[in-house]
Amino acid sequence: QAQAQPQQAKITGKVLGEDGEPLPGVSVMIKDSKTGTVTDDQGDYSISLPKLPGILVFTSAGYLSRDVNFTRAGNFTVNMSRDPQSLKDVVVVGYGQVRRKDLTGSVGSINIADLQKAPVKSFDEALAGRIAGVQVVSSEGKPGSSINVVIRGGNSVTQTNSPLYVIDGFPWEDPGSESANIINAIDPADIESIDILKDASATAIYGARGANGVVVITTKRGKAGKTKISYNTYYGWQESNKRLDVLSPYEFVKLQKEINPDLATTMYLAYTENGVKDTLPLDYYKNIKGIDWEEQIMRRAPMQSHHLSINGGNAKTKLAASGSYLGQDGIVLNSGFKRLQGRLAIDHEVNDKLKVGFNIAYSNSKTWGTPTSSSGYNNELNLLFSVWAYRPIALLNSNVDLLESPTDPEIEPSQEHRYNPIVTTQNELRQNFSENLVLNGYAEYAITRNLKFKTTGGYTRGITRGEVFNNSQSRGGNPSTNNKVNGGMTFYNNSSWLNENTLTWNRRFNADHNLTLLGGFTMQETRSSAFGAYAKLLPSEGLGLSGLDEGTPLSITSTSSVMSMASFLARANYTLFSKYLFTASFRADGSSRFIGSNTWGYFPSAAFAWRLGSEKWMKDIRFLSDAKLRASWGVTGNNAVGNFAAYAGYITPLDAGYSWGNQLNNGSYPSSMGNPNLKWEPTTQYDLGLDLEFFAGRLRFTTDVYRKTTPDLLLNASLPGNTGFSRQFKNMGKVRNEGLEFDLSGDIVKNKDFRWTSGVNISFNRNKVLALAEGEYSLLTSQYWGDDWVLIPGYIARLNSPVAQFYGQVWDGVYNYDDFDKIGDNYILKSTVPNNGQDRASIKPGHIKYKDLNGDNQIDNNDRTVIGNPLPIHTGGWSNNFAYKNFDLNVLFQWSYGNDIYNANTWALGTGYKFNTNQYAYYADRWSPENQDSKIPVAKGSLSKYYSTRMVEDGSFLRLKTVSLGYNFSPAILKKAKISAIRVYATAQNLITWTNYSGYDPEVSVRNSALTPGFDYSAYPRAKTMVFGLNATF
Amino acid sequence: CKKFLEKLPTDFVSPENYFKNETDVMTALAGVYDVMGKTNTYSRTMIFENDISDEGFNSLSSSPIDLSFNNFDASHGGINNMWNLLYQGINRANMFLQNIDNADLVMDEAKRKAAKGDALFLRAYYYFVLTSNWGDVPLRLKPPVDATDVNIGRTATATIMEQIVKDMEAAAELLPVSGTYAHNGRVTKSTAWGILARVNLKWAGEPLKNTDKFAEAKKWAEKVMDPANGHVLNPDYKQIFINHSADKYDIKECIWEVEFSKLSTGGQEEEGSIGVITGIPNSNKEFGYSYGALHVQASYYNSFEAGDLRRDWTINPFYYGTVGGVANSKVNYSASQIYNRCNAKWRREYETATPKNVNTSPINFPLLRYADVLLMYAEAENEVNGPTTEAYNAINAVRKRAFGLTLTTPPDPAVVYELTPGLDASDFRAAVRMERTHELGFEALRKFDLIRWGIYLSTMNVLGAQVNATAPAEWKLRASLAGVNAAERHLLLPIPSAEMSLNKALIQNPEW
Repeated sequence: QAQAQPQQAKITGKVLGEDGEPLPGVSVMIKDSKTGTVTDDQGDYSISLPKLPGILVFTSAGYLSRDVNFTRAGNFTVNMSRDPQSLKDVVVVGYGQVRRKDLTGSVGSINIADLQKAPVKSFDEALAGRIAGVQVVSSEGKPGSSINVVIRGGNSVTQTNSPLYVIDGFPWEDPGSESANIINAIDPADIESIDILKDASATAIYGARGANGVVVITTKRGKAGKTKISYNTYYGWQESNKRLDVLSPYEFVKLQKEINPDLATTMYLAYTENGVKDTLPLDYYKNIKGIDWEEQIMRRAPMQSHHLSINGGNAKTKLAASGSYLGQDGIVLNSGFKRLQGRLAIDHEVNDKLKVGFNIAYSNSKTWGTPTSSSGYNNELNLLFSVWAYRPIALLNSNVDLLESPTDPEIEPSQEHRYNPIVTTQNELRQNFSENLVLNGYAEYAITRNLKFKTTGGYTRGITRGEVFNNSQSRGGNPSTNNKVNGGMTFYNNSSWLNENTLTWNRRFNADHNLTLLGGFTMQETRSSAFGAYAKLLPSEGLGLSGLDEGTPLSITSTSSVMSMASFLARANYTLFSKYLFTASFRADGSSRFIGSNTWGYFPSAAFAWRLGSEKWMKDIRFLSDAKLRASWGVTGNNAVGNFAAYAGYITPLDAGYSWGNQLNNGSYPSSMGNPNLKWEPTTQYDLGLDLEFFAGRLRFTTDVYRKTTPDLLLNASLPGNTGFSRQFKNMGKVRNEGLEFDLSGDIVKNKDFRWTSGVNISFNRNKVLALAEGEYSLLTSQYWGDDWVLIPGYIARLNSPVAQFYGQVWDGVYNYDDFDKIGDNYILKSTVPNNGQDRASIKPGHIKYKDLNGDNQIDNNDRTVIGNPLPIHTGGWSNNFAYKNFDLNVLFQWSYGNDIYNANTWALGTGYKFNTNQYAYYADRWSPENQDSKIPVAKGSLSKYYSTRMVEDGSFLRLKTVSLGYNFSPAILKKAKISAIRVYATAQNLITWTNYSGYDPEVSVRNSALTPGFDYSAYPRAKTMVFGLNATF
Repeated sequence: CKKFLEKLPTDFVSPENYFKNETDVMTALAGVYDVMGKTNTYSRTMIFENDISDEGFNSLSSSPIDLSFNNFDASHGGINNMWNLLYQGINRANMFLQNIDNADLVMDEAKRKAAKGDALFLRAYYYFVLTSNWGDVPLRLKPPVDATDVNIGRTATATIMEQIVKDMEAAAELLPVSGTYAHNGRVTKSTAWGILARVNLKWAGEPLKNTDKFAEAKKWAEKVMDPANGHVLNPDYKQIFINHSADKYDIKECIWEVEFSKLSTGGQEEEGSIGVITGIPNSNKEFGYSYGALHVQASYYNSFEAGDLRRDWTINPFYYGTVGGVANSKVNYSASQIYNRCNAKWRREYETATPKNVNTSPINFPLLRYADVLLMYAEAENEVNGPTTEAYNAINAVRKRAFGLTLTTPPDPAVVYELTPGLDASDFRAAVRMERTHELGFEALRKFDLIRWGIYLSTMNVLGAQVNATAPAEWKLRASLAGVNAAERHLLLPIPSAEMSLNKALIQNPEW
């Protein structure tokens, strides 16, 4: 029927997701026109088609777009299905989300489903190798030990290089802190996404805290649709099969004979039978099996996890709740970690305009165990040193049970600090209880269709109770100590509140122009305090810490601190022709840590991306399905100094008093000269990136090249003694990090039955110090591991070199006979042969030899040079997912290449420096007149305390990090039991490590800092974990 | 917003808000004194490793590398800390002196004056220890301005000495007379005068050899000896040291001590290691644990005259053993066992405060005794006027007690204690030197004396050779090392390596 005026066809309807939930915000466009609309919060749309038939294009982030042909007006419901790639397509950035293809910055997204396959207590343990540019080094293998995440190299020299963690919108500057360890408080199974913001365009919106990168973590929230109940559990074992063998009883006694022949003979070989004195031959010990201390202290430790969650809701109200328990015993006796946690998130639409929601999380965890590596005053106090060095045998005919006896009866306590390690682990109570509470709420109000106001409020509270108890069998509390039975508790409190208010305005002018503006104001205040009390001479040991009140007070700790921050932020995203993307952001941060005119810092950024793939001429390149070029620049900051570092202060600590007439007077002194000029540490970063997709997205490639320059470092500078102060924060020095990142992933095989996706990433970072303090060319740093080593710098930061390099002597084997003149029975070192730091007269064949670099014929500090690089040349990971019918297999490799490790164990356990102290098995091969080819010095032949190349080892490794094999029961079978899905699996973590490193594990860095990375002394071994699990969804 | 971003420190006070009342002042003053009693000052290093002379040797170390063996370098931890601590004391005193005259300080004037005297004196004393050990050192009389104020060169020893004398003289004016306090932990006029005598003797000796200063030394010693000050010798030599152990004060003899004490709660934070690192070895905790690490040289033991009671107090004639089932019985050494014996001046069995800690003790250490003042007087008088009657009187007063003749029941009233009369100046000088080592053995003075007399190297080298030739094998190495190794560079300590690397204006001591 002809009509004079063709009536416009009005089409209305609803867009629903896979589970039948309404989808808001879906773009509805008329194909080949500039007309369109979006669905409202109910998923409803209404659009007039100028003519019929027509094609409507429905697109929404995370969903496969749909073209629907219409031939008539009316009400139509459209279902959209999720894009399998969808999780990778939406990226959570600061104060918003963007589609990956609209991204202008460099942001890495973790494949969370893969990460959740790793049986780990917290996500950071499974982060390594997954994202280019993210280097993860855990300090050691102890459950709950600190993990250092460094994004694109460290900028800071003396301060933390930890990224900012934004967890459900709440920023955490120090998430691994003693008082509020939020990372340990989150069950990895509760995480929805982890995005890592790397370049300045992405991080500048976090201003003063963005310079080390930002890790944005979002936990799971409710989804409309059928309510899902999931139960995920696994049970397994951890163990370390690597053993650092020590000398056998035979070799042990042989060594003692070399150190002190008379005493060794008296102790181990001489005996009296029927009143006749005789001496055993050394060979007697060839058949003696000594105590294997390492075997005694290591164990196969169980690990288990239970995670129950419920997720569901309707169009208006959505809910997610979960509770979990994780128990992880350590592989060293009496150590471990356990956690109980629960969380609840509710989102609700009050009306068309107003949305509210909140989430609440609580966790309770316990970490326990004697630290194996500590910065005590003597390196012999370390637990694993005691394990290796303890005598494997008691005296001949002795009835002393070394395993039971707290101290070795043959060592002089004033000269030797070793203590029975088994007794130590059984009698030293070292435990931390942590509670974390997180409350976050938001309200979002649509003022107009384009303008949204969002306000969020958050409150977090962390309480940690540290408990220490030394009973009468322990090293610190046995009857020979001053304090006898003693103990104490320390409470750490940390609370923080946050308020953020943002206005977002979005307008698509026509298909060519899309502009989003964001403006906001935020405030945050953090308070912390600690209180602790210690008591000694506790009369009732059995009461444990409850008996503290009966003892004699020893000390009280009481500290407090506060910091506040206020910020203004703004960002503009402009898209032209869907091809040219512009982003600019600006943040002004005010912090209470900086005073006067330095309070405020300003952090701008700008980025541009060109979607080459949308250019017509690119369409001709058939194999290339998409391409994007990105460029960004920005300035970010670092505010990592103490809350009151700018202020000078007088303190009155307990140990600063003085007595007059036997009356103690408290003493005070200036603790810091203060630095009112202290200001932000700014980092300027340039990034150039390219994203390519080939073969219709089957192969994806991303590369970034970046340069970060950080001048005015916040340096906790050492001051010379003449000032009366030891350290002071100053803005000085300059560091540069440059790097390259590659990430290649693809769907290699994509059949009906078999699918193989694989991704490999590799990153190179070069770190360089461009300036230190005025006129300073190098900065020497020592590692704290006991004794005089505290004063011997083993690390150097040199201009135009990386911030940390190993520094010491070049080991040159041992002196051999031809280095000596034989005079009578004595070997006198030839005058032309340099000494080794010891008195020339005391040097004998077989003693350690160093290279005389300055040619002055003597070894001293002037012969030190750079002897190793603790920073890797490249790190990376290779992940694979295989699916064959109902089976799935996940395999992740991780590597680090080119980094060196200081193996300080070599010094304590490979030099025969002390009588009755056992050594590593390889020490049997030391130099001797019969074994002149050996480079290992004789007993007591390397007494000078020098760091040398002898301690430096290659720390490169390739690790088969995670292997997870699962079987998914087919839905058909499960349907009857009203179960949606069941997956059973077996997973291994840290399965195989290929490395030349001789210590327990090459991923080690005890007491890690930017200046002292890659140090191993008595570090806790890394466990290999094998678990069996079940994943059920109802 | 501005107010929200202003967060003042919650855990410490700023200097502007300090020094408001007497409590603040006395707390800050205790902070200035605090430096005296640290491990690397008088608690250990300065009375042990850094005080090795011809009196004793370190028997503890298993390695031949140690400060006590004259085999160490500029990175040695003990001397690094000692340097840092002394400058911390100076900085604390500077802060104190900068604020003590604040207009808004409410405090009794006499107490304020005395406290100012304390700080002024201590700053000078710390400089005296610094310059005695290191020679030319950086001179700071005000706290550093800011964190860039770090490069400061060395000031000539003579200038440092002038400043020390000036400050000590000014302090003497401000300080109260001896007897004001019932203890000798705080300094008095007598302390300042006595130490001024010591400072001037050093100035008259090596390295400056400004012999005009002997007269100054004599003048200050004389001031202490003025009977109005009430200083007399304790009639019983050993009682001086028993008092140190038993927390008793004899302010007539002991003019100034480093105070170590047990907290009222039995804590050990303010304890030292007198009698612990030194003392007679004993592993019984209740009796008094001691490492007995400072053994004696045989030559020192043998240098005492017959009848000199100081020998068997300074050096233990016995060890603690079990006799007839009784632990801690005193068992005499055989005559040949000399090197086995220790510096036994301070003995833990006399400690009264309990519980006795293993690694620390509350035993005080004397810094200035009246006997020292008398001997300084005798030395200075001899240098100025020769061996006069006054010089003889002073040395004989000390000797009289040494032979027990001031005891209520002298061991042998007929014994001749006087120094040979009629000595010439040179022989008298030698006699005073001998007397000092006998009277003041192990009181952190001998190495200092040998250096200022210019005979440290010769004495030590001779000793080293002699020990090597005669000592039993068991003791040979440890007893000889310090003497054998002693060389020109050991007259001064090296500037600590940490200071050298951070303070660009410094030049290292020669030969280091």
